[in-house]
Amino acid sequence: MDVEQLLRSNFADRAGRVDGPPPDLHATVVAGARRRHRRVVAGGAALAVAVVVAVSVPLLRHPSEGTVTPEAAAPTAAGSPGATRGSLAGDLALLDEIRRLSWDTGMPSDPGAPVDPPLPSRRVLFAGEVPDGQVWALVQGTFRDRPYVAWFGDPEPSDGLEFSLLDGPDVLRPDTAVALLDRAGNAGPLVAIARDGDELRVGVVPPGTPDDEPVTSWELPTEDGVGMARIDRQGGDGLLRLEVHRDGALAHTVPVDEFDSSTLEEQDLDGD
Amino acid sequence: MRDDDATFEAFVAERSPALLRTAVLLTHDRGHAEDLLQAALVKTYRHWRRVSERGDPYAYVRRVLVTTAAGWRRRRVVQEIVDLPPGDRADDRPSSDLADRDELTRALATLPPRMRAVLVLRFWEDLSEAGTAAALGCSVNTVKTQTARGLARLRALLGDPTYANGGR
Repeated sequence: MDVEQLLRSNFADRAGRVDGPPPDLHATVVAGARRRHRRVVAGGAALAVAVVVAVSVPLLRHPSEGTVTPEAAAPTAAGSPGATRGSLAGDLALLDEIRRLSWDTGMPSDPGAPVDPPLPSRRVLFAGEVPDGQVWALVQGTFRDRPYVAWFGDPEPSDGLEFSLLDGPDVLRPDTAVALLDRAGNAGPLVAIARDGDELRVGVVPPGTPDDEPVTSWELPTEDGVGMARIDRQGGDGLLRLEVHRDGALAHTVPVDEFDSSTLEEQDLDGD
Repeated sequence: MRDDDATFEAFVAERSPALLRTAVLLTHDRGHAEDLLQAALVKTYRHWRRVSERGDPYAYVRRVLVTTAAGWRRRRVVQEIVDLPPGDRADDRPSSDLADRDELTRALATLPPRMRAVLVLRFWEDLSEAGTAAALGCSVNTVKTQTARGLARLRALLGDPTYANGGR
């Protein structure tokens, strides 16, 4: 018997011995998702948590239709690798506050424990204004020897900055870009953080598209590895995909993570 | 959200047993598998309306499951995480096959999580190379490389000259 056949038999044997999931799994998941919406604390102040619940993702229209609005990429703090990028990168007090934000989602993201990188391991990769006036930040931290990232932001910064956990924590793959979209309403900001010099494109994968089929994509205005655009979506659905090009070739693709800033208040009133 | 809640609950009831089996194969540990499935479902719940409108959400949840698993580090030594109840061995298969499978389970536990995830998707979920690449968010070439290296490492770990020479 060859090793592939052995693998199939091994997997079938072991899978067949797995008892069913806990009977309260659904309730546990829903409760966990709602705990995620609890207020997080920065510098001792209670801050609103951004909430992510399901809404449809309409189709991204081609820029020629005037729906992807280029925004000037945020100025960078420095050109050196690892420096914080974004229009607020020079505000050291703010960056320190962002580093101290809670990563607690109320759910296990690593076996046995929520991801909570120790403060000395945290650094702010990006902090700045994004299209539509929101302020977002991307923080990297190391937990159990693995790099993680988490997105924070304030969708309505006019009354003073109150950061909330928008998305993550998620494992940061080596040398891989990350991207986040606010899918509230018909239009919202998209921000991608990549390596300086990367060329970024955004595409939409329509429903039913085979996984390996290329999709139409559009250039994301990018400066110093930070790509930004206001994405106007019109009907339909589909998943957004970020393409990272280096040295004239496609280096990798990543799905664009999403959150919904419009549900923040509703979820805060929902309990927790 | 009421309809969404109902459809999500129905999905969990119907599909979570299969997802848990995959999670166990990915993690080699029942407790970690439950944590993994729970985390994946929470992430899915956040996007449930969009995910469910696209058709069968199973592929989406599986993608979350495997990408999360691939990011989880292996924290225990092989002897601690390999679960091989001896009472489950009674069947009519040749004993040599069963011995191979026990060895194979131990060998699988030594693989990096991402490489193991590739093998689980290819040989348990029966995904194509393209489907596996989509599930893991990597290129088809990466899947081919990880599959080849994973199989080669298993052959070497099993120590069978037949496998070491390429098997088939």
